[in-house]
Amino acid sequence: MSKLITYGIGGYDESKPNNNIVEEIDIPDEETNETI
Amino acid sequence: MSDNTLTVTEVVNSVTVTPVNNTVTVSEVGTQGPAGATGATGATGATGATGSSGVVTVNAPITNAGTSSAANLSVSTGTTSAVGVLQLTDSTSSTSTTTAAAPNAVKTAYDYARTRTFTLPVVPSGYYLRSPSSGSQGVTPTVNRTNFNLIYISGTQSFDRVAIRTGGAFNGTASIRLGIYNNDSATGKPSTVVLDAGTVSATAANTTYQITISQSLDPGFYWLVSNVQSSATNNQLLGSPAAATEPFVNTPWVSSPGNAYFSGYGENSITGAFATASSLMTPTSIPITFLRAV
Repeated sequence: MSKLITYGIGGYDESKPNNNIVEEIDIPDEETNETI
Repeated sequence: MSDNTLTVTEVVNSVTVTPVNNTVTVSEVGTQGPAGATGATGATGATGATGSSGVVTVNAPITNAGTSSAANLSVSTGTTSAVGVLQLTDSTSSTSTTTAAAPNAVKTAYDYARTRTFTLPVVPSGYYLRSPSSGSQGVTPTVNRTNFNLIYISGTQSFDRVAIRTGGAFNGTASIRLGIYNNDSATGKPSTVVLDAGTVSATAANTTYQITISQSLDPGFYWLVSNVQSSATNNQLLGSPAAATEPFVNTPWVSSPGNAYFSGYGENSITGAFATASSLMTPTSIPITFLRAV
């Protein structure tokens, strides 16, 4: 499980609620050949 | 008669003759008589001047091979240097410079060209486009270095997210700026800024951070960029491994054959907003920036 965090237009902004993060969701791990 | 004077008097006209002065005085003019009959026709006039030549004067490409009494007009054949009439031809292999392609020949060439056009599919809606490489691994980018990933847009398309992903070893907090650059077709290198999307504040490993955008791109090459502008304890991001040749035809070129590779470009000492690229270098590995299609 990993996370996907989405900011609104303009990106990180301390003046906006939640620093302009508009969505924060958990996404299931995909089977990949990535090496992390 | 008296005093040697003769006087004739009529009702309307009168004539007075005065012998003393040897004069005859008509004291009143009579009424004008009727107009006389039309005179005889005058003599024939002199011969006029000779007229101009009867030869028709024409301008190119029309020519006249006739005489003053019989014109013989034609249109010259056109060439690459002179206006004129051309014969149409259906040929798609002729090298003539004095004939012209008929619409049928144009269609034949067009239909053939369509079968030979190299096209790439557009990115399906909701999917992410990334610079191609032979693999992915965690990379630790240099702070304040803008890293450029080459992508190709095959058809005009809109995108709504630009993203980057932290690696498993990432920890701490990093401010990472994301954006898109134009490609200079003359040099094949990044040029001006298409979009500075702003920054994300990365705080966790194995996490995708993305910024909402509204960006349409026309077909062509572009560069997706990221720049870690404040360092985490460990900046590890998902990236292209060293020696992962980007499989774009013609993008890697080297001064001599060898174990060269091309992962993208970098530009050091970039803080704050993105600006036109200038002093580019070639990092051994770079983080991958993603672009999501609408």
